[in-house]
Amino acid sequence: MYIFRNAVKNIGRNKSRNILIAVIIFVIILATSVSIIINTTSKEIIDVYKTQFGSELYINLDYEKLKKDRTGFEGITVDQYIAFGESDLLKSKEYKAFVYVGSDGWIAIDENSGNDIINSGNSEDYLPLKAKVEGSTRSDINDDFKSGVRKIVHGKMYENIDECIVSEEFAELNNLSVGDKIKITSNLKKNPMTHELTISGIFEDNTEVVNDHQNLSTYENGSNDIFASFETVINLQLYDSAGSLDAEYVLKDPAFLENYKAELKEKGLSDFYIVSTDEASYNKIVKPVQGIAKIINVFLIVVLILGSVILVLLSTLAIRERKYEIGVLRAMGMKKRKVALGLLSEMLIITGICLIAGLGIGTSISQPVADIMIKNQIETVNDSNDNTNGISIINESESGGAEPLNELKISLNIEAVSQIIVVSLLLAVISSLTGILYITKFEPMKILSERN
Amino acid sequence: MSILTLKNISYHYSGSKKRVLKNISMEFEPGKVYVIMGKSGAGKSTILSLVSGLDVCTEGKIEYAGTDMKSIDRDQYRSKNIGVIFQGYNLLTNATALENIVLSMNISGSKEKDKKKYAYDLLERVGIDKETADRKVLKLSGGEQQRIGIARAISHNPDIIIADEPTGNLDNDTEKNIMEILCALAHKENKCVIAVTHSKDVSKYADEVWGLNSGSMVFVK
Repeated sequence: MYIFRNAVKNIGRNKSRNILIAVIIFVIILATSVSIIINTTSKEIIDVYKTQFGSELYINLDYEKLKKDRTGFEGITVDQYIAFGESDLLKSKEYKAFVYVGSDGWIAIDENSGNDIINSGNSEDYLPLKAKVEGSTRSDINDDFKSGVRKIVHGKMYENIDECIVSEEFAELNNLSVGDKIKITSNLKKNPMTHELTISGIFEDNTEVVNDHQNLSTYENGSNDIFASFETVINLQLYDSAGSLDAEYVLKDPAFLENYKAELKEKGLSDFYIVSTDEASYNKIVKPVQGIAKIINVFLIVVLILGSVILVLLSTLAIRERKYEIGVLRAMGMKKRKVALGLLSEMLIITGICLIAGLGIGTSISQPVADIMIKNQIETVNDSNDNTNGISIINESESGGAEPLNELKISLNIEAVSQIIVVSLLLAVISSLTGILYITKFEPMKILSERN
Repeated sequence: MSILTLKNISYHYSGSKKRVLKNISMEFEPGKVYVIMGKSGAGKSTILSLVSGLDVCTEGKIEYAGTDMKSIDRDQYRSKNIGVIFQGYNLLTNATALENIVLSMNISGSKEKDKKKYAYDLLERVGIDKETADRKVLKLSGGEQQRIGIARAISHNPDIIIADEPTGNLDNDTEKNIMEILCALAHKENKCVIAVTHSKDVSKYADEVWGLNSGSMVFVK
């Protein structure tokens, strides 16, 4: 204990030298803190996006191949989609089925504006499409219901086959209430199919209203959406003629892609389909962050090497001053390890103070530093895209409309704190090392006789 | 009964064949003041560094209380069994006089409950008042530093006190005062005091005077 107390006193006894060492250690810890905090945040973001874009699968038509030769082309059936989802390689799967329907005894919102005619082909063979019936395997239907933008205000969520929910506006327009039935029809004049759905609930629709109603067909108006269970939708007779299905598969690990592709082939996926992950979105979002991580890593290495060299030099100079003190302590019978422990304690105390200050200030300045860096990185990435023969490497369709990160939300996590503490401890050890080596090398008599 | 025995000790510096000390045999008893005299370069400081455990003899052996020094932990020996008053004081100059004494007590593992009070008392005993005790050593005179050196040497109640030129830079009054303190330690507290000096005045206070000449020890009185 007295060694620690003496170390504290020694710091005060040699103020100027210790202040100089503290300033250097503080600068190194500050730079290290900023680097590590940004680096760990970048790494987290990269990992998240890597998992997200590297695991989310897309099964798309190979249009190039289809253009050349359509022989043997067959679309993916509902059963196939479901079979593709039965795999141990998948973390999750979601299906969403749609059917565009006409009306029998009800009108769609904005129908009187003539929008039902715009996109539904006013030919002799087809009837206008007025609404969309959607069925999802998600228990919360979709993000709108999850976030509360849409919520059931009357009745309850559909539970059984042929139950549905409609919007409040749609229900009022058609004077419908819970328990009523609505008839949906196909748009084929020659082959009219009608199906009856029972309204189990009515939802409030607070989704953003598109102002351009004039150019919007009625089935594009969200308030005309009819929601039913996935099973209800795929079992509709109408589904075969006017239905479509979106499947979302997420792999347990991006590395499983090739195995999963092989499994899909075994399950009968046609060669006209391409299975891929969203690499373009990944690159677009992650590239600026990867750029920052690279710069930060280089900066960190330079700071640590330079800082360590300066500290060693400073410690070597300082130990010349301390030689005498070490000699006296050794002559008084203090053991080598205790003298070394004293020197190390001094440096640990200084480093500890610098660590608290460096970590605090580092955390607060990391965000503005990261903001500047990501801004520069986005500009660099955009410039490099613009310079590729005037054509952007990543276009919106390729990237799925993914927006690049324009801000990096910096947060201090345990990993970053641990790394900063390890670096600080190393700095303390490096600073004390010269003194400790000196103690182990020389006997007190030699140190004192040199001084005398 | 001797507390410290030198048995045929010789010493030469590493890389040199010339022996600085040659076959010296001596016995030191508690309660006596020993003065070793000799010219500069006679090997006075070398013999002190050997008996104080700061160095080891190249031939022969030194026994403390009957035990060969080679089998003793020399750090522990220096911190507990002997007190050394260095010619150049060798105090921690950035620390106060009090801190020097308390640190020495801590190193020796002193069980004293109130170390500060004990140190103040000790310093007062060698003529250092409380105000001076709280000042940094660097700001004190040579005489004051020498007194602090004595206080530090006896702070852990050692059996042997070794003094290298204890009055080297001091005026006559201070020299007399310092030597009276050392004599009191030997005669009243049964310590073995070994002083090395070239001053004949110091030898007046000795119970035994030995002369060191060309590496050999001769009894003077």
